[in-house]
Amino acid sequence: MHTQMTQYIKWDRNTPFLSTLVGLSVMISLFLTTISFPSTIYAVDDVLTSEQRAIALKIQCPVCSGESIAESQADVARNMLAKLIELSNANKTEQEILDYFVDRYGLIVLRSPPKAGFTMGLWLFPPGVLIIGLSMLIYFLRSQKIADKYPVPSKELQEDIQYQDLIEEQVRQAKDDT
Amino acid sequence: MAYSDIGYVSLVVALVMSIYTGIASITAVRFYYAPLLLSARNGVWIISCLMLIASGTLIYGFMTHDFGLRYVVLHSSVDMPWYYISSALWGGQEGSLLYWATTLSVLAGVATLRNRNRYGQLMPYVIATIMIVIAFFLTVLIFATNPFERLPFSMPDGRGLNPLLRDPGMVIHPPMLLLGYVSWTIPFAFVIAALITGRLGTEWVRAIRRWTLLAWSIQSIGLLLGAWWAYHVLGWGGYWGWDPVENVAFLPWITGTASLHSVMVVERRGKLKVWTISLVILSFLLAIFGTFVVRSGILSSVHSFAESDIGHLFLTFFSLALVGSLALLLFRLPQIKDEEGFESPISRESGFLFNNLLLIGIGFATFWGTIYPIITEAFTGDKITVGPPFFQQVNGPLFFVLLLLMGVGPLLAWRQTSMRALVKSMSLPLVLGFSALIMSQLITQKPFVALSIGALVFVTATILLEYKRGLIIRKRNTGEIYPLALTRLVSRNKQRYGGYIVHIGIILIAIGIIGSTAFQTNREVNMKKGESVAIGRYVLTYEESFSRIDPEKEILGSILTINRGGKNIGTMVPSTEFYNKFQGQPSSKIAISTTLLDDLYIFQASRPTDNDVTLSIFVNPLVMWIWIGGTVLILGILIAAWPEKRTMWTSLTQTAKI
Repeated sequence: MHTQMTQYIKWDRNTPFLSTLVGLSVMISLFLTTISFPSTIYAVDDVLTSEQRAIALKIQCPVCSGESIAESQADVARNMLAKLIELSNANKTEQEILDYFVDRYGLIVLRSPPKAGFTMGLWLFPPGVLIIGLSMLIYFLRSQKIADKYPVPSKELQEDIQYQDLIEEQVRQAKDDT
Repeated sequence: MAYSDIGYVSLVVALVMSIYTGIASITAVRFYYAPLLLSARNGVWIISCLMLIASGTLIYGFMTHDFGLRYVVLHSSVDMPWYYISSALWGGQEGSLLYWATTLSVLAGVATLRNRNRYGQLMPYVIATIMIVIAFFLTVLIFATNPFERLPFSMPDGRGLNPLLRDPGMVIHPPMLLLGYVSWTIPFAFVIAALITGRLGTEWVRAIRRWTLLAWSIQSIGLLLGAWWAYHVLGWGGYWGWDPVENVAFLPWITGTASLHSVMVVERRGKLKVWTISLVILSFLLAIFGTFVVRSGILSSVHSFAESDIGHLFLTFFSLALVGSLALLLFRLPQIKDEEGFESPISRESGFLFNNLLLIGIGFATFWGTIYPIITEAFTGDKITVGPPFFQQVNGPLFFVLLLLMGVGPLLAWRQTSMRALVKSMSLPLVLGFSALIMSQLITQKPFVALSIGALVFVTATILLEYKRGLIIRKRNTGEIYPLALTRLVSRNKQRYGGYIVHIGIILIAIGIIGSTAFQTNREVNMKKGESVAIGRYVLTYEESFSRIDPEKEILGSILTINRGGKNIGTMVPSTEFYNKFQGQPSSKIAISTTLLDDLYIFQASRPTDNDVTLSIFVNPLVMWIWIGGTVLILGILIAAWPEKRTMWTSLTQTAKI
């Protein structure tokens, strides 16, 4: 029994990072190469290219809830998609295409509202709230003066704390069990 | 007198009973009058029965095709199979509110039964709080949207269910999600009871932890089922669209996740009470908000708000609940303020605080993006859309940091951790994470993917190390063989190791989400008969179209033979269904072939003819891992929440004695 245990610990200590790393790298590369395969192109023409699809994904179908014109099968969306392909084939840039649709249908067709004007508020508030929250949290943690009482936790103190936690845990479990 | 009046009368009696029960249980505890308390308890169970009778009456109306009932006419038809008919109960506003009140009354019954010998001082107030919520829903049902409203004459047939909703996922997903909303009421009631009585010691913490876990797990299942339904039915190759209705369901889940973590600080250290109480109250308010939003259509336009007849009632109830609980909280504030502070900024406690900050950040961004169209329209008159690009950009980085924290958190000790100990226990996971990051960057050239994979490897390594550490200590102390040591380790610390399994579930879900968003390929092609198209490792050949006419619908499909990596794996048949009653709304049946590596997902984008068909074809890598991760997550919850054997045994013997 004892020898088994030491063997285990020995194995555990001597396990080099390298062998784990090699195993990991083999797994990750296998996994990534299999999912990031290129797609071969056959004779069949795509209705829209991947660039056109990327633009279509940014345009909301005005009559459907939560679908872009790349996804929606509604007539309006299909017509808009046809127009998008036409514009894109006429070498219009993405911005020109988006502007074209905003002119016709209004801001509602943009799935990501502009970072300007009134909708700037949409983009500014969440990071703002997060920063305020973060500063409050840091202020709270710094205001906890107790930390100063033990500036550098000695090794003994740390062990004491761990021991105390262990006992607390066991007492709690004993309570749970009964 | 029609049979449906039984349902209506049950609602009215239940309303009267709920008012009585609420008053009786408070009076009982105020004047120490035990018989009244027993009467209040019976009241809870009677209300459960009355509500079940009311729901049963409506289901009976559906089953017997009673088209004299307005609700039955609007949400069912003769040609619907029985399982869709019974799920039509929650298909509309009246029915879903009835379902809400019914499940809440049943939950209240279960809570009363389970805690009949526990929380003696709290339970009367818990019951009273739940009764107020039930009374509100009953008031809405009786006076504003009566599900048992009869038409002056009987219709020959009903309007039927929207074809999009005729899917097995739809039978189970909405009731789960609604049940998730409903179950936030119980932890909320415990918090209110603790605030009213001022009994803010340790007993209420256990109660809210259990019930929050229940609500959270039901909501998780509801959200996962929703994602699964969207993936299988909607045809855009995705599972989460950041749609307003999805977002409002996500909100209580996020705040609930935060409270599940902070409640551990309350349990272990008696700190963060105010914060945890606020989170539970917030989760309940968001659940009410969610219920209301799903049914009112407020978020698609400001104007439907005015049209909705229950909007103002909900708004009033929401404000009263908000003001009431805030006032209670402020009243008790001096009593529950933390006495001693945190020992160190590097500790498990502050780890949980950062976790909460990130979760609240995600919650706020989601809420803000969801309501910003209303704000914009109110101020500028412009209609805007806030879609997935916004939520991905804002929430993506937050999720990433949260993921990293999921790896660091378990390594932090309570009270304080020295930097050296932390670095020591993190070194192996960090090395693994960084090498994974570099390798993924070299292979994929996508920094976001590489970062996420690095984080995932780091977190997985810390969790596995946590298991290993516990296992070695246990084996050394007891000499048990590994499998036994593992089972004992987990069963003695269910909360902790079950929680880690939940984290593993989250990691698997993250793998699925990253794989399918970063590596999704899509082609939309027009194919002639006999033509082939290649996507990923698949080659699809259009063989022929097929059609079938059923009594209620016409089905048009296209038959494709599929070749995967050079091997024929059979045929797939995406199709479109045209329901006679919903001519304008063709409903797609997507063909999906799933492997652990990727899904081939075919959606018919045009009506197929003998000559040609337009197909939208997706290869969605790793989506299967979302569903596997979901299952692991539920497993983890089950382990974490599994009752102790002995307590179960003692409660059984106690019951036997009584």
